[in-house]
Formats: sequence, C-alpha cells, structure tokens
Amino acid sequence: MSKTIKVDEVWFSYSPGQPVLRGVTITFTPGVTAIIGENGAGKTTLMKLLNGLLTPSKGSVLVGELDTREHLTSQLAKYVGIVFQNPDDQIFKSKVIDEVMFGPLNIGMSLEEAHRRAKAAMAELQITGIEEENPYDLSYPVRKRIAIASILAMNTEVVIFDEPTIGQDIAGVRLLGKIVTKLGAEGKTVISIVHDMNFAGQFFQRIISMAEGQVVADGKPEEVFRDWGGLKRAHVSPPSLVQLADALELKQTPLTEEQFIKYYCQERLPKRNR
Amino acid sequence: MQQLSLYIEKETFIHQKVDPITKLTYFIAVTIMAFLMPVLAGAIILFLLQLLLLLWARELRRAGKLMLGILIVLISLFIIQGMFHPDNQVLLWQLGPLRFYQEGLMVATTITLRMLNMISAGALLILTTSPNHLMEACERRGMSPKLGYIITSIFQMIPIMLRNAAVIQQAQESRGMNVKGNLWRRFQALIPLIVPLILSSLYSIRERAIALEVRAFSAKGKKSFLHEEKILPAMYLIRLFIICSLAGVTIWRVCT
Amino acid sequence: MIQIERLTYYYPHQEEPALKELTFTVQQGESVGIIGLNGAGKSTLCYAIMGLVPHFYHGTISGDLWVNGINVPDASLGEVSQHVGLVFQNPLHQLSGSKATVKDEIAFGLENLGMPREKMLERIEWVSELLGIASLLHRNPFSLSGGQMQRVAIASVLAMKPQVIVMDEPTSQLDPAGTAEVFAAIEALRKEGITTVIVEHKIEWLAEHCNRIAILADGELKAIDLPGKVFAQPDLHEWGVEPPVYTRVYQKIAAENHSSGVPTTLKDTVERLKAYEQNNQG
Repeated sequence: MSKTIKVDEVWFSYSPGQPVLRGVTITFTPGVTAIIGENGAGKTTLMKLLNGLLTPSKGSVLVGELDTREHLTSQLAKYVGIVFQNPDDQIFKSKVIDEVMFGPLNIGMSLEEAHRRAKAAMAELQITGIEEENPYDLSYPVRKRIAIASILAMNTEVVIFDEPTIGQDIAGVRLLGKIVTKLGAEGKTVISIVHDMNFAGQFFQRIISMAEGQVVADGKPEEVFRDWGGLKRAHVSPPSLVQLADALELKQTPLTEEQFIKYYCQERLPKRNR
Repeated sequence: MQQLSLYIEKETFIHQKVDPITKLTYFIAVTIMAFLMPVLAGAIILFLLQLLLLLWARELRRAGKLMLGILIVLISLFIIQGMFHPDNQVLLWQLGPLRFYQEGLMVATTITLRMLNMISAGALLILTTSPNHLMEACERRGMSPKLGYIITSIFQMIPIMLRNAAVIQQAQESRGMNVKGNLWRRFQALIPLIVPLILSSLYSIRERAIALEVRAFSAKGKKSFLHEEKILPAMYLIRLFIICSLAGVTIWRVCT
Repeated sequence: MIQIERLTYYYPHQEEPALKELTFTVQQGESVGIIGLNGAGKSTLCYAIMGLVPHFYHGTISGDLWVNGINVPDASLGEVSQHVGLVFQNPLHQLSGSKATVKDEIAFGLENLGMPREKMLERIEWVSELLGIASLLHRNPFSLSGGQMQRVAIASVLAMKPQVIVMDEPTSQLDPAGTAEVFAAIEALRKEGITTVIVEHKIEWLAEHCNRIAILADGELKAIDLPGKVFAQPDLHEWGVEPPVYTRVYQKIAAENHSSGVPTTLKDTVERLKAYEQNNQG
C-alpha cells in the first residue's frame, strides 16, 4: 500500500494568485514512470509534493494511507526517497560510507543493516572501493553516484529522481537505465523527471507529460510519443528513434534500436529475411 | 531574483538627480557634525533638517523603520545612564525605587541624537542610491575595481546563498533529517545544512573566479565605464555648502 | 586557428598526465566537437586552450599550444582572454554577480579592457542582435531562464571578440528548449567565422552542428575527422563513445562497407535509408 501515491485534484501556488499546479490528479503505482515537460510546467513542484516538502493549496497527496499534510517529510522519508539534481546540495560527511549511511540511519535502520545496504547501493552504482575517501576529493560525476547510492540505500518503496542523466556520459546513462529498470522489477514505484527523451523512451513504461501546471498526457511511451498534439502542448520532442520513424512514416512506434530495426525491416524491406 | 539592497528606485530629486558622491559626502559630514556639535539644540535642529530631507525623498517611513531598529538600545541607554551615571546629582523623576537624574539623562539624550543623526544620514544615502551606482562612482575616483566588485557582488550573492540553503534543507529533510523540534535537534541539524552550503559556495566562487578571468578581470590598465557620469553643476554647490557647514561646526566646537 | 603539438599536462601532484601528447589543428572558423567519457581530459583540454592550465590550475605542461600566433602557456591570462573565450556548464556561475542588468553584464568584460563607451555600445548591440537577446537587455540576469542565461554568458564572452570560443558542456544543465537556444547561438557564431570548440555528451546535436568531431580517451586524442567518418570507426566502443542513434540503426540495417562515411543526422539518415530501400527493391 505504501508503494502507491495518490495525487488528488492538487492545486499549488508559491505566491497567491499564481498557481503552479492546476488540478493535477495522478496515481503512481509500482513500475517505472517518467515525467516530461518544459521548465516551468510544474514537474519539480509536483515532485516536492510527493514527499511532503510542499503541501497542496487544494486537494491532497496520499503516500499509501498517509496524508502529506499530517506528516513531516522526515517521517515520510521512510517511504519516499528523492535524489535531487545537485549532489553538492546534500553531501556533508567526510567519508563516502558515512554519507551513504546517513539516510538509512535517519529512518531507523540498525547500524549493521545501514552498512550492509550502503555497500550494496555503492556496488550497484559501481563506486566500490571509495568508502573511506572524502567525497569532495572525488569528481562531480562520482559525487552524483554517491548521492544516488545514499537514497537507494534507504530502500524506500518509492524512489524519485530529478533529472538523473544531467552531465552523465554514455556509460553513466546506461548504468542509470539499468538501475531504474531493476528498481521497477523489484516492485518499487520509480518516478523520474526526465529531459533526455531517448532515456525516457527506452527505460520507462509510463510517460506523464505536463504543461502549465496540468497533465497533458499519461500513458505508454508508444502512445504519448506519437500524440503530436500533446507533444506540442508540452513543448517536447519525441525520442530520436520516434522522430526517425515519423520521418520514414513507419506505422509502429520504436522505442529501442532493436524495435526500430525490426519495424523498419518489416514495413520497408519485406523481401529480406531478418 | 532581486539584489539584496534597500534601494528602491523612486522619482524624487534625491533619488534621481543627486549623485552618489554628493550623498556620500553628506553622510560623512553629517556624522562628523553630529559628534562635534557643541550644543544639544544644534543636534536637534540637524536631526529635524534630516527628517525634512527624508520626507522630501519620500523615504521617511523606511528610515523610521531603521531608527526603530535601535529603539531597544536607546531605551536601555536612557535607563542605565539616567539611573547610574557617575555625575548624577539632580533628581528629575522618581518611579518607586527607580531614580532618574538630570545629568545622566542629558548624556543619554546627546548620545541618542548622535546615533539618530548618523542613522538618518546613512538612510538617506542607502535608501536612495543603488549599490552599483555608488561603487562605480567610487571606482571612477580611484577606488580599486576589485574592491568595488567584492562589495556589489555580496548584494547579489546573499539571496542566492539563502535560496541554496533552502534547497539544501529540503534535500536533507528528504533523507529523514528532522529540522523541527527541540533546540538540541535543531542544533544537530545545523551541520548537514552548513557544510554543503559552505562547500557549494566555495565551489561556485571558484567557478566564478574562472569566469572573471575569462572576462579580463585581471587585465592591466585603466578600466572604462559603460554609463556616463552626469553631475549637475548644482551638486558642486551643494557639496561646498555641506563642507562649509562642517567647517562652521568644527570652528564652533573648537571655540567653545 | 588553434595549433596543438604534443601537448602533455599533469595536474599538481598527479602521476598520470591528464593530457598525453595531443596533436591537432583547428582551422579558423571551424567548429569542432569533443566527445569522450567523463575523466577523459575534455575539460582539461578546454582549460588548456584558455590558458587556465597551467596559469590557474598550476601543474606541469609541455608541448605547444598556439592560438592565432600566441603561445598560450607562456602568455598571461589577461592576454589570452582577448583571443579565447570560455563558456561552461552552470550559467549561474558565469554571471559576474555584480551587475543588475544584462546590458551591464555584457559590458563587464569590455569595461575591464578599458574600451571606449561608443565602441562598447556597438559591441553590445552586435552581440544582442546576433544571439537574439536584445529584448533581455534591461532584465536582471539572475531572473532569466537557464537557456537565456547561457546565451547571455555567450554574449558576454563574444562581446570581447575572441577568435576562438571554447564551450565545456554548455547545455548540460539545460532543458531541451535551452539546448536548442544554445546550439542556435553556436550556429550564429559559425556564421561570424568564429572558431568554436564544444565539449558535449549530446552527440546528435554535435553531429548536426560541428565540422569535425574529436574523440578523447584517457587523455589521448583517438580520432578527429568529419562526423560521418569518425562515427564509422570500429573502435568507438573501446573509447567509451557511441555514434548517434541514427547512425547505429543505419549501420545495423545497411550492413555494408561504411568506410566512405555514415549518416549522422536525422536528415542524412532518412535520405540514406530511402536510397538503400531503392537499391534493395529495384
């Protein structure tokens, strides 16, 4: 039950009279969901409503059965973990292992369990061997992985990422895709704000696009990325492969290279055995 | 995002036509005069004149708020000096066991007027002048541009640091750190807030230092200015008047 | 024009060089994209062209780096900054932080150079037209969007009329709209004949906007050539680099000899695939 977050007719304004979210209703369930849309659409605001950092002006947000208006973020942190964009906004310990264990210890894990989970998370992020190092002696991309590990180690039912692929090289993006897929396979509710449409199309089962504080589209990538009207409203372009498929007038919607090759050969090269 | 300064642009003579150096001269001169003034009546008249100027600049209310800020200091000054000054002899007022003497109250009044005069003059300068404008005027007259840069950049940087601090708090709360609660808990919550703030500020300062180098911050030679400095001829008269007043008060003080 | 010969650089206290014997030339007006894994030396190369390495970061440098006849490692930073400009990732960190309007911000570098007022005004008008920020001149730079801020950063650097502008992941922190704005600005720079060196992870964009692509791995230059040739190389994977997704699917569909070059942009790929269809059905 705590894996579901119900956002019900939520309105939110930072300053009175200027709503940033205007009647958003979404139910987040186990699986991998991407939130897309241009800057200013309300994505980050929505994200902060999911763990109680912000509470709705109207409507409600329920984490499982807990109303975010009645619980502190530090209490909800047991169920909802957020990886913020800038690792330097959170790293303060002088040893990597202490940093990764900070979250788990705060939410009540024993020292032994916190240590175990921290090591496992670091292994997943491929940053083993640096436990005793000072995070600020390491490069920025490594600090980003430390930040992600520190949230994964908390083993929350819901994991939220704020644009995780920024500044990552190809290896980093691939690793993130793997992690996101694995978390989804474990039955967790994974939500990510994504600007890299190729990443969104490849690794996510559900795409929610937002514009001007409202949900414009909510469905499978194959549907959302071919809904030209919706894409235009959200000011986003579809992934490169979908753009290529559009240009070649393919009927099916490829989200991965394998799919593109398959569909293309089926529709354009029927004579060939592939 | 606004700069952190008290300056608000308004359509008054003092805001628009009086140049920063004249206002700076005014502030320095008035402060010195307030300390040199030999008689209380003089300090009072000076203060009233300042209030008139502030009224003309439509900044009386905001300046009043600044003066209100030291109200507690002034009240305690009156109480302490009025009751315990060593020269106290003549009893002016008695409230139960509390005795207030004339000599002490006079001293408190003198100090109060000095402070009020200084704050009023400072208010006139700060509320009607943009920090950039003031720094530029000083740089034209020989102040190091690097010093000018440091001062004006503080005004931009503080709001940014505050915003950053809020983001850091949100990130740490999301990791289960409790920022509300008793004093000890709040104290414990300081390190996870301050360390990232300082480190990320240092990091951004370093990046900015590079950006400054790229924009020839270290270049040798004289700096030029995009804006033209236009000083009305009347300003020189005003400055002369201010300096003569200062000279007058100084002579008065020396002679008494 | 940038001439680099056997450039080798060690950060202070490091045993492994960050740059190893780099040798290549960039012609005036050319646009070169640099790709590679994080840690490959891309940023270090940017700093070297700018002279920050060795002046700001210290360390040991050997080999030659000439920009328009200036020996960069030997010249002072003040001198180099009149010929080379640098734009980097975080728009916020590039604003001087001491100016209240975009117009003043652009003038900052010009004031430092002691330029006469008239000339400053001309330059400001020129860059704001070129980069489409004329409507932003009276705004507070800190109130702009990421894409707008980066354009102002580019304008501020461009106003000093360097012959070379180096960009280290300029769109990393921007949304797609901001990315498009920055690459439009890059096109404007190309039209003006300014040499641009751009480090990016967004290979599709680089393939579209650069004359040549250079690959760095472990501090070494592995390849530098036209996008169509560079991305046809078989060793890309070893160097931690992948061709644009368009290229990848084309290579797998049209499994032919690619030594003459592969398509790297959407438009080229569509054309080549259509041609391939013709050849296979006719």
